[in-house]
Amino acid sequence: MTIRTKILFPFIVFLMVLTGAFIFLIILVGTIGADARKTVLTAEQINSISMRIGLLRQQTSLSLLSFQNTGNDKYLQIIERNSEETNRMLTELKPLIPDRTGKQLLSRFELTFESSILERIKILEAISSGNYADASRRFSIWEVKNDNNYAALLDFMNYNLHSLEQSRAVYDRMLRMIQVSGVIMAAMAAVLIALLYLYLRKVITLPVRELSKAADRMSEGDFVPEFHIKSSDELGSLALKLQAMALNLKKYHAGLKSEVAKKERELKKSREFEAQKDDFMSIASHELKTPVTSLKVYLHILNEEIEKSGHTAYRRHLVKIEDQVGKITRLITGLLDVTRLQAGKMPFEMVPLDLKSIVSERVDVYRKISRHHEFKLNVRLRRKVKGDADRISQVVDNLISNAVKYSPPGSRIIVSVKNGKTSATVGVRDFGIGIGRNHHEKIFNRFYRVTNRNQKTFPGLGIGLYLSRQIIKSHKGDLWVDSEKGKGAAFFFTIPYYHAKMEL
Amino acid sequence: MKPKKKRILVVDDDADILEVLKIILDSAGYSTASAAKGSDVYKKVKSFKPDLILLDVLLSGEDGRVICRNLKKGSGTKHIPVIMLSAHPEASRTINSYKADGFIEKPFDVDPFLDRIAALF
Repeated sequence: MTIRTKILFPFIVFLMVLTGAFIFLIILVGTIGADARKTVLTAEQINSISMRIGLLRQQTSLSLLSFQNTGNDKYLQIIERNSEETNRMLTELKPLIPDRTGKQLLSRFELTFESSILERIKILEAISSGNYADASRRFSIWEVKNDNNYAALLDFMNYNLHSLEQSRAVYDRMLRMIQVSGVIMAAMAAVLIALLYLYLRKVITLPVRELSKAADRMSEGDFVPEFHIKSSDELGSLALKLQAMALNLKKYHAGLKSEVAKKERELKKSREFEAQKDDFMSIASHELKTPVTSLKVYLHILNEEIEKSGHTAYRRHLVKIEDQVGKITRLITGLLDVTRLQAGKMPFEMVPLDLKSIVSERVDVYRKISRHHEFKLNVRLRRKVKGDADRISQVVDNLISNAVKYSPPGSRIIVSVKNGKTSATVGVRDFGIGIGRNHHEKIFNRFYRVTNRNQKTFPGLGIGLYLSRQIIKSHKGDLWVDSEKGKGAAFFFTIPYYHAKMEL
Repeated sequence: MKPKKKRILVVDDDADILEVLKIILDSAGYSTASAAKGSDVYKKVKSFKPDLILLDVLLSGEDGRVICRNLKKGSGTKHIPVIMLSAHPEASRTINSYKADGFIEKPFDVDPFLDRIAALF
């Protein structure tokens, strides 16, 4: 059975029961009520006719007495008329009598009436024949008969009044019955509505509530909800589907959970590995610094010894050693910088800076070191920037050294400093081998190096650009590359201007 | 009359560093003494009476910064300038609270190093 049927069916039954009861009540009121009313009306009619008969009877008796005293014929005419009138009324009354007792009482009245009329006729005959003694004797008899007749009328009328009262009582009882049955019907309707509510609750509300609870439990991760819904309607099939879904979800969830746990373990491992690597680099670079310190001191001493002894021919070897020691020092410093940046421990001394002098100083240094490149410096800057002089200098140095490293001798290197809206932009452009687009973002990852089998390899650790970008980011600036393979490369970075209100 | 040689106490737990510092300082005309750990430092300060102390930050045993603070507390030693040495550049940020008079990062170039020391006298 579908839900629609389950809802419609009891509604139809409910309506039918209610309508049936209503029709029943109407019929009850219409028939029995009308019957009772008719009985009352009839009784009233009977009563009224009987009373008129009674009046006629009295008039007749009086007329007869008057005739006896006066002998006037008009009394006889009245008596005659009254008899006819009474007869007419009796024929009118007879079919109205509803019961046996009433009819018997009426027959008794008719008999006594006819008997008194006969006697009266005999009286009149005696009078007209002049037999007054007989008339007088008959008159006494007629009086008795007339009394009997009158008593019969009274009996009938009493009986009729009694049945009128009874009919009224029946009528009243009917009215009360109708009232009571109205109340009963209302109560029945209330009970039916309550039953209907309980039924709908069982068929719809409770299963829906259970399904909703199950859905809640599922959303909390409990994927084995038990259902008590056994119905064959849509809700029952929904419950079955939900159960199937719960099982699938459970499987899926378990799989996902183990997958997440696995990934977490992997992540933890890789983090631990990263941390170990950083620790190792920190310790290693620190430990490398001590021997480098010694090397530098001994180189210094050797230099002095060579000066003193005049063996200047060895000097060029010493210069080579000094270069290499310098390179090692820079590498160690770079590695330490990476470690410090990773740990967020790199100190920045933020002050108002003259970016022009920092950039031109670096260009001057490279003009001396790399005499084979042609350096061009374009500087248009009016304002100071906010930054750490050593770190900005380190970034400029890194970009120029890359330009020198990746462009052929004799080519130009253009360094520019320009005004922006809220920051200054420094650019370093070379005309060397360039960088393919697929490497543009990767070159800023630490230890990333562009390797190509057909290409000559360039020395380095792959940390310069990583450090530069991190340093510029710490200055709330940006560092990016614009390049195509074989067409040279241009690196740019921005540094926000210094404001007097700025927090340094 | 030839001026009296300035006396420098060098403190480091690395014998190689002690050796090279001694070489360059001696050749620059200073009188030097060395110590490898905290307890030695306090003894040497009393016996050698240095004009300057070069103190490594990370020593095995007592930390160089703690030694520095103790020296700056002692009435007989607080007037002696202390320059701290370290291979960790961030150590330079912490030395102020230990009352050190300066900081030199390792590795250093010899000439600027000697200039820095000469400037103290």
